[in-house]
Formats: sequence, C-alpha cells, structure tokens
Amino acid sequence: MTTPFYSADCTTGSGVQPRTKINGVLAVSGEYTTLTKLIAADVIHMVKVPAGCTVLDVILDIAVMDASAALTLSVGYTGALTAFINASTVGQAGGIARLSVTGGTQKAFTAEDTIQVSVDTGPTDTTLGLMKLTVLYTMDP
Amino acid sequence: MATVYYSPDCRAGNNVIARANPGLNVVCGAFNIATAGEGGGVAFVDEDVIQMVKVPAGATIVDCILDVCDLDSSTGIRVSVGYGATTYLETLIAINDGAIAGEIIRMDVAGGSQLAFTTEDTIDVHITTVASGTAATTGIIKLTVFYTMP
Repeated sequence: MTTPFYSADCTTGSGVQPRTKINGVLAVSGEYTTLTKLIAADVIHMVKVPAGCTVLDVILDIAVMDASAALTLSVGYTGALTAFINASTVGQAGGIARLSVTGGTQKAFTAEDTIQVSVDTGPTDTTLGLMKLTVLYTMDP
Repeated sequence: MATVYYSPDCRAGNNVIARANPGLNVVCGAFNIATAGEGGGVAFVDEDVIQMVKVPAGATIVDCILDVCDLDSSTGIRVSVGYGATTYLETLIAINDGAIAGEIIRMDVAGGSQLAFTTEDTIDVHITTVASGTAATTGIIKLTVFYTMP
C-alpha cells in the first residue's frame, strides 16, 4: 500500500507557516530521509506553500537511491503530481533536477497546499537516503 | 512583416510599474497567443518580438526562465530571449529549438547574468526563425525574470 510521507515541515502540528509578508522572491526548503524502500505511487509531502503564492521554480536535490536504475520521481502538488518535474531519473544516481515541465512555471495557488515528491516507478535497490526540495515563490500580486 | 507583440504587462497605458524592493525581485509575464487584444491571434513570423516583462532602471538581472509552448508542427522554429525590442535580442537565452515541442529554458548566454539596466527596459522573446510547419495560433508563452536592485 502506498504511503503519504511527510518532511518535518509538513507533519501535522509542525506549526510551520510559509512566509507571506515579504515582497520579491521567497523560498521554502524541506528535506526527508527515507525510512523504508519507496514503492510506486508513494507521495512525500515536502514543503508547504501559502494561499496566494505563485511558484516560480523547484529544485530537487536527491542522494543515490537506486543504482539499479529503475526509480523515477515527479514533483507537483495535490491533484497534479507531475506539474513541475515529470518522471525524473535523478534519484537513480543522485543529483539535482529542476522544474522542467512546460507550463509549470508561474503556477498560482489560491489555497495552501504542499509540494510533493511522488514515486512513479519504485526502486529496485533498497538504498535509503536524503532528498531535499527547495521551492521559489512570490507573493507579489 | 515582423511585429512587436506585448504581454498584458507591457502594453502601453497598462500602468505596470516594475517592483524595486531590496533583495531578490521577480517579474512574471505571460503572452496568450490566441488573445487578439494583446496584439496576438496570429502565427508568428520571422523577427517577431514579444515584449514579455518590464524591468526597472537600476535592475541587475540574475536569472530568467522561459516556459514556451509548442509553436510549430514541424521542427523549424527557433526563439531567443533578450532585451531592447530591436537589439540585444539574444543576450539572455541563445537561439534554441525549445518551441518545437515546448520546453523550459533557463538563462544560458555568457554575460547574461548580472546584466545591469540603467533605464527601464523590456525583456523580450524573439522569433529568430519562423515555423516550418503549421505555426501555433494558441498557447501561452511565459517568462520569469529574477533581478536585484542596488
């Protein structure tokens, strides 16, 4: 059964409030260390974004998690899990993946949401590791 | 004949003032090809320019992201990003084929980062080579520009 995982910033009662009162570019960063082997359709809630924000860019920074080269990951939000990064292989050897889905820039959120890493194809190996996600956004109207 | 198009932020009389806050600023522009009120609704031709966003006097460009849709049923079209409406149109993103299928393209021209503006200007998408197949008449081109102020 697939599981929703949560970074420390996204767990219930974490008290984290995404910033909304600064003009210009804001960033929110979250990290999650896998505790068990991921499987297809797992979702990891990485960071919160506030109502009224416009997401500009995302940066997924991930360790080696599947040297056997099966793992693919996406980044998106509730109801659109591939909106920003679609089925990236970056988690196989580790590395950085950035927003790369056409139309994914300038996504406006009318309600608070989380930016999520989802597993499209689960890994063959059982390597556990750290993933970090940084989201750049603005509250400018 | 080539045409200069305008995103809603760059149209005359729109009263958009580029922000000039301390720290990192961002300005986002979107051009809906099908919206005739923006001067669009037609297929692009060679040397067309789309003024996407304004940057204020004193701005120093840090980065930019072009989010371009599919503009050509074939493989001929090429676009670039620069400024000045008629000159310097390849100073931020070099001529590329991202509009063949749609793509995210980031600043890639040496010298493009830390480009300083002494007067207000627009950052523009330039159609350097027209579509070789059927040119798209719908879709949205988006440009995000990050900049700082002194």
